[in-house]
Amino acid sequence: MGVYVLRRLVTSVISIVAIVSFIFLVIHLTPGDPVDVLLGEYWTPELALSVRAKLGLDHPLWLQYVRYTAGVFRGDLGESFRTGRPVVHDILSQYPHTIRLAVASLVFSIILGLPLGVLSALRRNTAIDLAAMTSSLIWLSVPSFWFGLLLILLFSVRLGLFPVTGAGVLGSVPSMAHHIVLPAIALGARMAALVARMTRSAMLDVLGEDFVRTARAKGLPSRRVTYKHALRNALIPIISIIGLDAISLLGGSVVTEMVFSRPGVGSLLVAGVFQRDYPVIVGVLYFFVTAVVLMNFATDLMYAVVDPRIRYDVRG
Amino acid sequence: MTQRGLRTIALLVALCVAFVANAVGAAPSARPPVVLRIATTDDLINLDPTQTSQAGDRWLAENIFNGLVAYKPGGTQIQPDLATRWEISSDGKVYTFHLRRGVRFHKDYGEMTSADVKFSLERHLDPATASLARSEFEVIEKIETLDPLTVRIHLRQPVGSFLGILAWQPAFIVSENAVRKLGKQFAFEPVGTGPFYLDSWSKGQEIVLSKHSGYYAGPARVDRLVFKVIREELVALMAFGRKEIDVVPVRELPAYKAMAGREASFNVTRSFAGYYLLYVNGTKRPLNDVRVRRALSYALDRPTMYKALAGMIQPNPSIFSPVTFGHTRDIPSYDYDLARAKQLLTEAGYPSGFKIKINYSQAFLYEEFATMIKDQWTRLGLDATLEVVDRALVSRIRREKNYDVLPGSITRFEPEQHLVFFRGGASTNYTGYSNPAVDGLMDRAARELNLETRRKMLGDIQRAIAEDVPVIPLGAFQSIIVTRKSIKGVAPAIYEGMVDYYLVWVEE
Repeated sequence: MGVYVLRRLVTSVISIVAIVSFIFLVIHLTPGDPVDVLLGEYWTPELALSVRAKLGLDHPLWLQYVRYTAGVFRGDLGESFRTGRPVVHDILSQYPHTIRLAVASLVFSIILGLPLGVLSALRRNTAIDLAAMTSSLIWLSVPSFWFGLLLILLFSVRLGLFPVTGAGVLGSVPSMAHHIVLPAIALGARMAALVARMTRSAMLDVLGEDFVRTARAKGLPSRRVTYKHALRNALIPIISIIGLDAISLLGGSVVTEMVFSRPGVGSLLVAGVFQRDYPVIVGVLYFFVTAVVLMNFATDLMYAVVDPRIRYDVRG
Repeated sequence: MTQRGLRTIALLVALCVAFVANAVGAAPSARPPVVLRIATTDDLINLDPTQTSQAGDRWLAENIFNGLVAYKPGGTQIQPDLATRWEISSDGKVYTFHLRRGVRFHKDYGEMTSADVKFSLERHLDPATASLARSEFEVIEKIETLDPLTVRIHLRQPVGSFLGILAWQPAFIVSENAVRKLGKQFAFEPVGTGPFYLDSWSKGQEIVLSKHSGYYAGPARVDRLVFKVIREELVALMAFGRKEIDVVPVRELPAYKAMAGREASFNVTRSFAGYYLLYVNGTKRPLNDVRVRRALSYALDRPTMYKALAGMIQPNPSIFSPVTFGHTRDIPSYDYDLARAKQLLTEAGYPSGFKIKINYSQAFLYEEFATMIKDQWTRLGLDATLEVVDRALVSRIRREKNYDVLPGSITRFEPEQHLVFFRGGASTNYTGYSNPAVDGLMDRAARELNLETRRKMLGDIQRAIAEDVPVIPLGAFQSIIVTRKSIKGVAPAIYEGMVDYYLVWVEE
C-alpha cells in the first residue's frame, strides 16, 4: 500500500506539472495581448512598451516559462497583470468558497441520489421507478446556469425564501448555509441524477447475485439484505462515478459562481480569461488540475476502504 | 426517548442559541448606521489613480479621493475642490493653486499639503509608474511648491482643457506618505481625502467604504457604502426587488427593459455619459471614399434604433459627448434618407453595393447596434455580414485597422480628449483619418484661452469632422441609476453608473 501511494504521488506531481506547462504555453499562444486589454483606449506605443517590461512579457517565452516554473516550486504563482496582487494570495482567499460549494453540492447529490436509486431498484418498473428515472434524465440534461436562474426566480424572487446573490456573512454559519442552498442544488442536480441512475443499475445487478439470494434464503430481514449486503456491494461503481464526476463539480462551479454572484476560484478564472491575465489563469488551472489529480487519487484509495478485496500491494 | 431523538433535540437547541446569539450581537445602538448597498458588476481591481480604468473602480474612487478641482454634477463646468481658488497666467502656461486649509487624509495620514499635490501629479510622468493617463500629463513642465498651501504648475504650452484634466480621476490627490509606505498595496488600501475611506474588501463579494469623519466639508450623511459584486445586472435587479440592494446602476438593455413600467416604485437618475459610434476604416476601399461613408450614415434609421433600445440612447450627431465644452448640434446629422444614400453610392461607383463586415465584441450595446445596422445596410443594397470579436482582440484590430466597421463607445469629457481619435497619424487614430486643416484647427483651439473663440473653433472642428465622416456617430448614452424611493440626492453623473454619495441621504 505504502509503495503504491508513493508511486501514485510521484506520477501525480509529474502529470500536474506536464498539464500546467502545456496550458502555460497554449495560453501564451492564444490571440489577444494582455497589454492591449490592460491599456484599452490608453494604448500608446511607449506606454505599451513600459507595461510589457513591467509585466515581464518582453522576455522570450521559454525564459518566462522557466521563471514561472521556478517560482511555482517556491510556492509563487506570480502576480496578476491586472491588479498586481500575488495570485497565490487570491486563490487562497477564494478556494474555500469553491470547496464549500462543491462539497455542499456533493452532499446534496448523495442525499438525494442514493436513496432515490435504491428505491427505484427495489420498486423496479413501478410508477415510482419511472418517475425517478424520468426526472433524473431531465436533471442530467438541464444546464446548471439555466436551472440556477430558475431557482433564483422561484425561491428568491417569488417565494423570498433564499437570498439572490452572494455567499453570506463570512464566519456566520447560518448565513453562509442560507446562501449556499440554491447554488448547491443548481450545481448538484446533475450529479444527483447521475448518482440515482448509477445506484439503480448497480443495485439491480447486485440484487440478482447468488449471495443476495442466499441472504434472503437464510431469512435475514429485507432491510438488512438491502443495505448491508446489496448496497455495500453496489457502492464500488457508485463511488467511482462520484469520484470522477466530482471533478465536474469544480468545472461547474465556474458557471454557478457567476450566476449566483458568489466569490470563488471560478469567478477568478472567468475574470482572468476576459482580461488575458495569464498568471491568474495558469494559477487557477494549477489549482483545478491539482484538485482533479488528488480526487482521482482519493477515489482509488476509497475502493480499498469499501471493498476489502481490493489491495494495492506491489506483489498483488 | 431514543438516542437519535435526543441528538436531534440537542442540535435544534444549539441552532436556536446560535440565532439568538446572532440577534443579541446585532442589538441596536443609539442610532442605527445608515448603510447603502450598491450593486457593482466589477470587483475591485486597482484604486491607484494612475491605474484605475474599470467602471467599478471609478465608482469607488469618486468617493475616496478629491482633485484640486471638480466637475459640477452632471456637467463639465469646473468648481473648487481641494483648491479654493487659482490664477492662470496671461499666456495660459502657469497655473497657481491655493489649497484648502486643514484637509485631512484618511487613517491618520495627516494633512494634505502642496507636496502631496506635486507628488500625485508628477507620478504620472515617471515611466516606472506606467500611468494609464500619462499622455494627458505630459504637458506639465514642472511643479513648484511655493508654500504648504500653494502649488504652481508650469505647462510646456497652453492647454484649454487643463482644468478639466485636473477635475477627472487620474488627477486625484493621494497621500505621498501612504504611497511610499504601502507601495503596490496602495491599490487596495488607497488613502485619499474623500468623504469615504476603504474600510474592508472581501474579494469577489463586497467592498465596504465607511464615512471619513474628518472630511473637510463635514462628514457624509450615509455611514457606510457596501458595494456588492453582482455580475449580472438582471440578478442585481432581482436582489433590488428582494430589498437586498438599494442602488443598481443599469448599463445593459435586458436590465433596462426589465425596469420599464415599474418606474413608479423606484427613483431613476439619468444623465448623459458618453456616446456610441461606428468606427469606419478609411484606409480600405471603398470606405476611403467620403461619399460612401456619407451613404452609410444616411442609410441608418436612428429613430427606429433608439426605439428598439427603449430610450437608452438619445440623438447626438457630434463626436463630442453632450456634456463636453463646445458640443454642438449645428452640424450635418445625416438624418435617415435611403434615396440619398443610394444616390451617393451610385455616384461613388457602387450602384449595386459592396461587401462589408461589421465586427463587434459582445459588450454593452454593441451587438444590438451591429445587428440593426446590418439590417439597415442590407436595405441599402450592401452585402453586410456580422463577425464577433473577442473582447481581448478589439483594441488590436482597431489599432491595426484590421476591420471594415466596428461599433465603439467613448466616455470622455474634454474636447481634446475626444479629438485624439481624429488627429492624423496619432496612435489613437483608429480610422486612418487625416485632415491637415482639422489638425491645424485642433492645435489652435487647444491653445485658445478666450472661451467664446474656443467654443467657435471647436464647433468648426465638429462640423469639419461631421462632413468627412471618419466615424458615424450613433447617439449619446446615459448614466442610469436605480435607487429606492427613500434615497435622495443622487446627482446626475457624467460617467455611467457613478454616484457622488457625499450628496446622498436616506429619508426615514
